Amino acid sequence: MTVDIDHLARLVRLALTPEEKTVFSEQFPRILDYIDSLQSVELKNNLAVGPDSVLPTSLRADQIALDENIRSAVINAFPEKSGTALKVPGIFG
Amino acid sequence: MALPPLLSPLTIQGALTALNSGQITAELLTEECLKKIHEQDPNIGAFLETFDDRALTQARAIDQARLTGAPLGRLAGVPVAIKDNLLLKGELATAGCKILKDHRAAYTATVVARLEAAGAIILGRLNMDECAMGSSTETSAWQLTRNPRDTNRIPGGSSGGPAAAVAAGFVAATLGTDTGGSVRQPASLCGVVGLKPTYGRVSRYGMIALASSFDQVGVFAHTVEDVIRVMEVIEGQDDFDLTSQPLPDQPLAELVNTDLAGLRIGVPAEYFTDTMDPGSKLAVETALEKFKTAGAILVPISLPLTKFALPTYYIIQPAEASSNLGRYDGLRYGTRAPGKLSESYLTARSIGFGREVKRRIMLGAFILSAGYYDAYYKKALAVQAELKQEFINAFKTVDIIASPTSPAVAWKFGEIQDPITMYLSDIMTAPANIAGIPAISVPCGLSQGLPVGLQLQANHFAEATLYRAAAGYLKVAGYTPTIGNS
Repeated sequence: MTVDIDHLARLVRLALTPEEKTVFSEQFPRILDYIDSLQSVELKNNLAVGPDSVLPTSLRADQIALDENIRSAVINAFPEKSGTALKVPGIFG
Repeated sequence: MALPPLLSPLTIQGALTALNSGQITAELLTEECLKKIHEQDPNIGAFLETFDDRALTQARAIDQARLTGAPLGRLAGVPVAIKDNLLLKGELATAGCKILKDHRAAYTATVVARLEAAGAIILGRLNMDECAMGSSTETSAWQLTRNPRDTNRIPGGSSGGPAAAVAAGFVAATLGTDTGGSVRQPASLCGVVGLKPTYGRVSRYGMIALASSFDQVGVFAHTVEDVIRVMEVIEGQDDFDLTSQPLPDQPLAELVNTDLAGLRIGVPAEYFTDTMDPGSKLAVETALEKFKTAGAILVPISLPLTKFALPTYYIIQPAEASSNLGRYDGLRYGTRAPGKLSESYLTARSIGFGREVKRRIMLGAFILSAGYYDAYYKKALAVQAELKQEFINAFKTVDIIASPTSPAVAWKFGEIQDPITMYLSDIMTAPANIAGIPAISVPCGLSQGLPVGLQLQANHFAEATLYRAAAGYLKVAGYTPTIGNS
């Protein structure tokens, strides 16, 4: 199977070094061949998928429980801010 | 004042006995542990940081409470440490990852808060594979961790630091996390006990996520009873993790049943392969004979889907990881990469993630892409459901499934470079995460002079049976904990 490594890297916002690109280009087809072995599994039971046994038994009350300390710690850690507004670089630069 | 002999090796039970009888104070025990870590850990590399001031302040508070007769928690004064992906408010938590190098926790993980509330003294944070992706702790962005049993070898991973810290005798117990074997495999390779609880038994709130449907906090210690002592404190429902479940009363560590008579032990042929280390296979087979001698019934069973467990794992796990790691954009703390938004993302992520993480993020994105979602992700979920059913069916006839924990003993640094070969080291542990069942690794002898782990798996929430089998085995095997390469 061929994989367009450059396209994949762009999708996940990664810039690969030439060495990484060479290594991944060699490894990806092998990894995909390995996981492709699943195609040979015959599904017999038509079972429901997903984490059924761990669905919440009940939901907690829908109440705002704001911890001001957590809020201020998150805001304080942010590199650029104006009051409580958090600044990020412009999309269009 | 020297440490009482009962503190070598350091266990929770030993520490509590010494503390409760007044042979030692929490402050002195904390000081001695920190001293040992500062002297010896440069040769091991288990700790990324110690919390000396915080730990000593807490230890003094516990001594004071003891003096005044104030109520004490169940782990009052016991020195422990946590993996670098568990949050402790105000402290760094990097998940072994460069992109999180300046990340200070804004809140404390539920498991860590419960440990502290029980009086445990958290001595520091422990090394791990980057973002918990790895089986040797070599992918950590920060340092190598050496196996205390042989410092030329890896400790296993991803919880290499937590396993090594217990095996070296630095602390009595540690918390790790297990997504595909990251507690059990390093426990096996370092010769300690390691438990991955049932998915939903322990809160994941405040654990830096890898694959959310598999992740579970686990415990390292020298004895099963000590693992239970930690579990009694950390387990149970948490409002902040909706997958955490309410639990019935469990046996106390002091009361754990160690009688193996009548216990039905399933032995799955698929876990005893010809390609595994022959010495490890022999050690596990010898352990099984001890079960039999103690009155357990060995039942040959077959779990045919086992061979598909690892491909299933390496589809669902990267898929979830790529989603979880999408949030790391380098914008929220520390130094921001320059440029407009898209350039800033690209620089931060490209510099901040190591090769294994990049590989899995890309793999996950590929698996979830429109053209391949059905073929890979959906198929893997369907196989997961079948595999889980296969375990549930097996537990209708047996109480426990026994196997090796790892196909190999600890290998030398740099010995495994190929990712698929590295992934194969999870081959015996990943099934429990896929099925969501609990599993424990206990030491069961040596191969090539290195520790071998016996893995015991039980049905969902059947930890009591798991404890009985594990503690019972260690008792009949006459197991005595050791530290380092003694």
